[in-house]
Amino acid sequence: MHASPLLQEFNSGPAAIIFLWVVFWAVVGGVITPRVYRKKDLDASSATLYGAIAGAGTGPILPAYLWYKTPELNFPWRWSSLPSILIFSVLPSIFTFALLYWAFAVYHPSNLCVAEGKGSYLFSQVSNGVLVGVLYGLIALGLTLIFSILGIVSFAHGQFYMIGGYVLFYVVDGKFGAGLNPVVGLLATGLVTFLIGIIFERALLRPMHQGKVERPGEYAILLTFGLAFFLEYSVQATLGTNPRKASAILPIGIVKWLQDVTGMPPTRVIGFMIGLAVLGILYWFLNYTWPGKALRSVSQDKQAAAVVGINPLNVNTLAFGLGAMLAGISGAALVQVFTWAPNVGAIASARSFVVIVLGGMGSLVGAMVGGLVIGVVEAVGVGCFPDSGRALAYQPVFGLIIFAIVLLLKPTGLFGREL
Amino acid sequence: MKGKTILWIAGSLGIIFLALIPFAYDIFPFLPPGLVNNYTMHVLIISFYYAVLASSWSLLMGYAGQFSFAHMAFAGLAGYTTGMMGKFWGTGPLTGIIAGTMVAGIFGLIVGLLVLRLRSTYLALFTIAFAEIMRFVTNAEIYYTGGGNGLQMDPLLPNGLDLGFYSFDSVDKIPPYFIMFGLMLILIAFMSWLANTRFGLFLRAIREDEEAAAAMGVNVIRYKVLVFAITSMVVGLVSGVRAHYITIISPNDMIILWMSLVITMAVLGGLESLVASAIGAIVIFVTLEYLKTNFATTSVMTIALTLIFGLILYQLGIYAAKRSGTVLKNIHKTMLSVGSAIVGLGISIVTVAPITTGISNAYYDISGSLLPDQIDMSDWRLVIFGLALMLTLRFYQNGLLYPIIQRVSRAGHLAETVAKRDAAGTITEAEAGS
Repeated sequence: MHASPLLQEFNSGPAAIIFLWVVFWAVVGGVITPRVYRKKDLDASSATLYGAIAGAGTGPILPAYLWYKTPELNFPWRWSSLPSILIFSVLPSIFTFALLYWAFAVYHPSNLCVAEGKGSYLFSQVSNGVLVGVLYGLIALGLTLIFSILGIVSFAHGQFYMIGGYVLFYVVDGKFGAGLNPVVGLLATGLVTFLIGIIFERALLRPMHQGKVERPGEYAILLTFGLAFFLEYSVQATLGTNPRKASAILPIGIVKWLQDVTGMPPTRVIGFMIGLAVLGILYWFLNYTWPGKALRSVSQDKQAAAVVGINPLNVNTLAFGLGAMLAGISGAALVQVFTWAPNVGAIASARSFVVIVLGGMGSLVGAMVGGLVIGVVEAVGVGCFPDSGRALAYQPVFGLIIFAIVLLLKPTGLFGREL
Repeated sequence: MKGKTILWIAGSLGIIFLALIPFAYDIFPFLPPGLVNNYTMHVLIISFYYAVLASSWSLLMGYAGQFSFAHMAFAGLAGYTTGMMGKFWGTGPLTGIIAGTMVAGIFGLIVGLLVLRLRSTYLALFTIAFAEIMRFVTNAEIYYTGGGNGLQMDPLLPNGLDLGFYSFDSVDKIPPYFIMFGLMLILIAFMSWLANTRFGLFLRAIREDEEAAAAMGVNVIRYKVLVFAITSMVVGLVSGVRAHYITIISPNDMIILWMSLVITMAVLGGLESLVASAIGAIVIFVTLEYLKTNFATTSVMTIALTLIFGLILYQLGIYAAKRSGTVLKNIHKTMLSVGSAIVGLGISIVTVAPITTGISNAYYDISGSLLPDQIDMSDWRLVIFGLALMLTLRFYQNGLLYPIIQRVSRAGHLAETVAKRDAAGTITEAEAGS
């Protein structure tokens, strides 16, 4: 057997034992617990998740308790259920992380993430991750908004993000574009993506909600997929594949000051701040304006909203336009951070799926939390991957693996409503 | 039965036509040179590959209702299996392809088991995640897979093929052409047979309503997993052959773009018919290859504007026919709308071409960079297909080819039914009279 030459310096044996121990008990807990619950005629909807976590964290101990006592596992988010949350989810999760960390430290003792006295390295990775994570959450906000109202996942979300970035670039950039004020650029971005979103929803998605389509779920996937295809290659055909890099959109003095104060890449900090501002505006919009309240009411109960005089079809259109606009604005906030090319959309789409599934489809808070988690996981994963040559190539994989696990164990995510 | 006969004859003619393409010059020596060469053969071979892919995707999606983005990932898995076996163990193409098929099948089984609980959107998301993980891993593990540069492997027939009276070189196109062609026919026949047995019936039952199917005694878990395993084995088989035919496989073969092409092919052909989606795949792939080159800007603009004008006039004709109420008969309405479309096309061909030429010349005079002489269609063709996908879904949910096939196959049915009813009617009248 040919092993990769780069991997031979590591002690894979002991680490593999710890790792397999964790995986083995996770699988045992995940498979047996729901069966036990079903056998005793109890609600087994969360049993897979908690069984797997319990097995991974504590080996046979906590699963045995679960099988013997079969406590209620669907705890509501209340103070009174804090002990159960601690015992069944927080503590085993911490144990799992500790075990995996231990396995990693045994596997690669000289790694910067586990070496003694290098805590600051890990800390800088985490803080970088938080910064990027807010931006990921911002991208995914629109997607989760669309899902909460229309009940579909827009596969063209990343393409709206890409278009938003391009619009800002061509409005603001002095060399290739019009060289206007960034605020004008942001407004133009919002307007363009909002219009595209509204036209698309009105022309192609509305028949789905009027019951004219046989299988709406698949129809929406295919249709938004076709839109993604169309938008991406329209941009590629008109603007070319040459990557664009925008400069920071604030005056150079402020940028320098930001760098001095935060000690982080200033473009990211600017993006972060735009993200927080958008979040605030969205919060205000959803809670204190009539259309925002209409959106929330439709997401809670379509029939009841229709009874009090809200037209769900128009709200659908508005929601899709808003979702597209949020994607576009997040693209505008990030065009100065990343290099921009027509294919950034596909990557952003994939990452937004990860974020909203982790946070729970349709939950705005979940999108932000999911974004943070994915940002930190990716940053730490890349920073700690033993073979730095391949670390960057694996960056999206860390998030995708979490994504697959969440889909399998708890498709509703952290804050999602029940299916 | 008349319509079915027509379809059978058309299908056989199509197969014979495709089988005779490599020998075009032997049969028709007067054909212009350059019509059939190695490049066209290559395009056709790859289009057969896509035909199998689209066909198996429509078995998975159209029949079983399982929306999967992982098709290309299974294809890549099989290709990499045979490539890596050849690289590290020195096995030949045949062993590798069989092993690749098996590996694809096993992974299809595992994925099928994992996604049992997931439905439409969640299933699509999970399979996207699987496909992307596969692609990133093959990209990163350079030592095993060759990374982004791809993995070289043996040609399909390393020593060529000796038929006794004629021997082919390992780079000749005719043997792979017939291998791929034969594989396509066999696999599509196999899947069509499968779709027409109880298996296909169960799949459609699951697609329509899983709980109801389970209540009627369909083993939902078994059939869902089986359809994943079977389609991924089919995909793995052709993908292994294709990888050995072009002698290289790279992570770029697994990007979502190719998956979306497969989806477009299946949707445009007709999701609920395996043959229609296969024909759709061949037509679309050949068209895409044809559109890969540069075209003169004026001709592209002429064609686009002509089509737009023609469509507008066609819609106007339909509108007029609808407004006419009972004044016109159905056949006259059809004639009116088609006729106005034809007139529209004619007018626009006469008027649009000079206009577009004038516009583009004017632009060219103002600034040479605004409208180039030539348009590179390699991106615009994908735009066109994205648009075609959306419009087909919106207005022709059964695809473009499948309704035609259905219509032809039912051509004689109306008259037959009427005749039967009349015959039955006369009998009852006669009985009543006596």
